[in-house]
Amino acid sequence: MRMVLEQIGNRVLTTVSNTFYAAGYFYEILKETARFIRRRHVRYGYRVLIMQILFTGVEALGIIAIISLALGVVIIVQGSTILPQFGQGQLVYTILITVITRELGPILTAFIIIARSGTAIATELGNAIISHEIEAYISFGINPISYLIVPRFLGVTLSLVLLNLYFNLFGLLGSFLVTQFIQPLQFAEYLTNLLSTLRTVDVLSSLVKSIVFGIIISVTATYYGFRVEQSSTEIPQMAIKAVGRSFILCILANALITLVYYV
Amino acid sequence: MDQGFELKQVTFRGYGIKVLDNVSTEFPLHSCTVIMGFSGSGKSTLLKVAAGILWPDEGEVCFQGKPLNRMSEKELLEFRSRMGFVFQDSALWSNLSVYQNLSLPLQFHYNKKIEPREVDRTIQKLLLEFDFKDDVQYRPAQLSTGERKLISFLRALALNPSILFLDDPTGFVDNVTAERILKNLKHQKQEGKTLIMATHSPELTSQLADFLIIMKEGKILEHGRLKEVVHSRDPDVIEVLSEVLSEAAVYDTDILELLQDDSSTE
Repeated sequence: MRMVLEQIGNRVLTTVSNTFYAAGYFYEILKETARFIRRRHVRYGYRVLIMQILFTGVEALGIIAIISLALGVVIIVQGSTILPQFGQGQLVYTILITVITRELGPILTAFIIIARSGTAIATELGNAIISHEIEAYISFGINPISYLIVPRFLGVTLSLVLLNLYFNLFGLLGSFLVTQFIQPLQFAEYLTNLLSTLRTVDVLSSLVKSIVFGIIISVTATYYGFRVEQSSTEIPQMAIKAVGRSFILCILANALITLVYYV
Repeated sequence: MDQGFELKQVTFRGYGIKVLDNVSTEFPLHSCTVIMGFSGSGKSTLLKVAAGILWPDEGEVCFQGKPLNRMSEKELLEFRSRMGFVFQDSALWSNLSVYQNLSLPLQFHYNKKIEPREVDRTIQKLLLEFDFKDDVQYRPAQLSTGERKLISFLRALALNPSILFLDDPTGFVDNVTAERILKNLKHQKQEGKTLIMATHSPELTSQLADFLIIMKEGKILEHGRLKEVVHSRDPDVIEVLSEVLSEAAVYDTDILELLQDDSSTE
């Protein structure tokens, strides 16, 4: 019994200690981000930022386009087939906005970024620790948070916001074009109905979600990348943890923001 | 001697193991201190702790009387701009090219105060001095181990530091490059730079060292002027020196002769 209690106690203490550590880490990132933005003339960090946006944002355009198009097409085809049977044809626009703009747009984009960039960031940083590259940065006075983490934090968050916008464009407008081959609709009518359904709060909710998910993914991936200590076998373990935790935190944050939206 | 580095009762644990055990020592400025010991005796860790790359679990490291952990961010940056560190395993930034590895410290410390042309001139001068012929756009993974070590050495020199921490600077490099590194280090020493070096090389030790530190199992066995330490009659020191230098058979005469023999082959 005593051993069980000791183990529980140790776990609680470790969790509390890790939470404080993570909070301190997040504070450091925010502090260095403010500095990074203030010192816009600093050349060396912007290269990393541009590379991160290129990898996280630009290289994910293809897969985002396919998923959003497919989702939009399915909603339009199913909605415009089934809903009129109940005299609720106009609901298709509400469903489109709810599913693509408010719910699946941000979360699916986040899932894609977790799978692509979350793993890559955690692995890259883990490797940098094993090969003492982080120590090399420190030896030159280059703050690894400022040089490695902040550009990834900004790059992933910015990319997620833009990819979410891109997801919406493809999901709402691109899917309309595809639907024309299956079930022709009037574009003017479609656009008018869509815009009349879309409210500022929908856009705001989507934007807030993508920003929060971007922050969660970048902070979690870099945090676990830095948790690698001595052996290369820790790298895949930490990458898996980064992915798992990012998924959980994004889903929880999504639920929380949606709840706030309806309260 | 000017007041340089002072380590006061430093203990460092790596993953629960005591790597440095209550170490107290000094590295005077404008001199060369060589650290010798078996592999795993804590030489690299001692260098990293002295350079402020790793923070000790106990004790403190002072530079010119001021503890590193109590320096302001600005003071620490100033301190780092004065030092160069050559890592045992090179520790080149793998996602940057050779050129970027050499230019990043310059860009970081001088930012807009240095023109790209000046950065280029500094890098070309270094590469020329060491006759580096490979493409500077290569990534470190495309270089041999010896070339990586050389680039790590050149990266440490890029800022023209007054303090050089050298972890096995001639390890893995060919004889010609090792000669060039030795020549450069002699020049640095003549210019009054501070060299703190972990090495197993009798040649580097005999030609550069003013002070010698002998380490074993995370502790300092002996620390003093080169001649004093190599004349030590402490059996542990004799064991370390003879085995490290692979000259156990001749040690019982006089290790100094061995070291002096090396210097005479200069």
